[in-house]
Amino acid sequence: MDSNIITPHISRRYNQDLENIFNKVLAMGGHVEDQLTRAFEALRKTDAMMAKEVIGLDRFINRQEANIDEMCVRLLARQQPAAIDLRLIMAALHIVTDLERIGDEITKLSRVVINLRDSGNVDCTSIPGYDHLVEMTVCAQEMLKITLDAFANLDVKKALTLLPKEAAADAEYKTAQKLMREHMMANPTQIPNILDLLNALRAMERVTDHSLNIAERVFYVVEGSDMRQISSERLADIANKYREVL
Amino acid sequence: MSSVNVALDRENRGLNLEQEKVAIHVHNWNLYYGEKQALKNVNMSLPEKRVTAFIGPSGCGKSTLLRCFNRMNDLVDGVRLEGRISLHGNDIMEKSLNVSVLRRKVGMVFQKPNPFPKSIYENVAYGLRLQGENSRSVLDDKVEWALKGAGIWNEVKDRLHDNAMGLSGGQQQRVVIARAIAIEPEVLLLDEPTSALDPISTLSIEELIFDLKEKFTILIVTHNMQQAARVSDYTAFMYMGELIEYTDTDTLFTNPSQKQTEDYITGRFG
Repeated sequence: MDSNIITPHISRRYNQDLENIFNKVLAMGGHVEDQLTRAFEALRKTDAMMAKEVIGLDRFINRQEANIDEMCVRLLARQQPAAIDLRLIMAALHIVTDLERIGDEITKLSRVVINLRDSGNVDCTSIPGYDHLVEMTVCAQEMLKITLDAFANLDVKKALTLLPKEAAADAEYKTAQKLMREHMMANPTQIPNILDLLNALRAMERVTDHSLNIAERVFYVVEGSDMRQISSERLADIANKYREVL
Repeated sequence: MSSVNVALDRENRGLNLEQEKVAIHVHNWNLYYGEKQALKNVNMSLPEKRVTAFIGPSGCGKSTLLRCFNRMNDLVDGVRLEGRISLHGNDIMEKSLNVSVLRRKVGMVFQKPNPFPKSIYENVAYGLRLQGENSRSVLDDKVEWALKGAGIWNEVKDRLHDNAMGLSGGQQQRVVIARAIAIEPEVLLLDEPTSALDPISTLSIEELIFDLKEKFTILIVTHNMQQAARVSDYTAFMYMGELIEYTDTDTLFTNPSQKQTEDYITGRFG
């Protein structure tokens, strides 16, 4: 484990079990990141084959979630973790759910690629609104990477950087939605395609939400409190504290 | 979950009683104290080089069963035994069996540390001397090996000839464990080995148990369910002299098959 907050226990087996869970969550995160990269490539190339492969990966992600869940249950039953260990396990249980859902959203993006291809689009880059989807996907990729890094190093400072990013992604989503509606009105023949892109856009916006959820769990592990329950002023104070320390 | 899935699931965890080498086999075992039946038709196979924990409320028979494995119950008046217990295939209840030989193979550690009022060195060398070992160099080596195995060498190596009674409770218990393993038994019986110790000493002993299973078959009786969950590979739950459930510890503590087990481990009775 990278973080120096989690120090070894007297029981080596407990250490191993905790580390195993931590590492498996990170590995699962890595696979989800990879899944997103490939889905994005499939979108840019309008490559239905690649999109199908990405959808195939989702089962693997789901299985990882189930495995980690079970490891956590066993550790809870056997070791009765307390304090930071307990928070880490609770966070792991939540994070794998978010990662699994991110996997589902990536599947939605991949389905859109297949739909677009099936409806005769050889190159979907020319569909009005495509640029907004690309922008949102890049944003989702970036936020997922940051949040997984934050978890790997239990880095609250990094986790906190997701707050403004998620707010920006929300705003961008609303603007893109409005513009795409305008595209639909201007290009009625493109409505089915644009609707597909809107679905994909929504899926990528959800990825940014789940990324923020993961960041909130990192905050919980380290600070021991729920970031969602803290006022924005207090959160700004905490962010400043981290800026001063680091 | 179907039974096939359950079996696969257990296989994935790498623990399956049916695939273990058996150290001790208990067959139709009954024990009576006078009129009272303390153990009722117990059947189980105890795996070699694993930690098996016995849990259950007071008076459930877990200590009584443990004491059968090195025939400690021979000393109790009015005990009647029925059935068979074998250690690596050999019946340990045979009248002709030399009980001292059995106890050399099946060592025991009790609830309260019971070092002899002798030096740490002599405590550990005691069993070896009884076996006729007098060579100083052999004794030195074995005492060091046993104290290292019991995880206390570094704490006592500079005062081996101090009286063992001067050590802390946790240290005394580890010296007693060293004394038990010095003669290299096959099985180590631990009867509530940490109930007289503080939490940190308890964790040290638990960590030691985890290490010792590399070499010995370990059977531990504990009142502390969490301890059973932490240290054991397999857990047996006993109630009123009966073996209610016996399976791998993960399964017993996450998904027991018997309602009585579930009620006991969740604190609903006991």
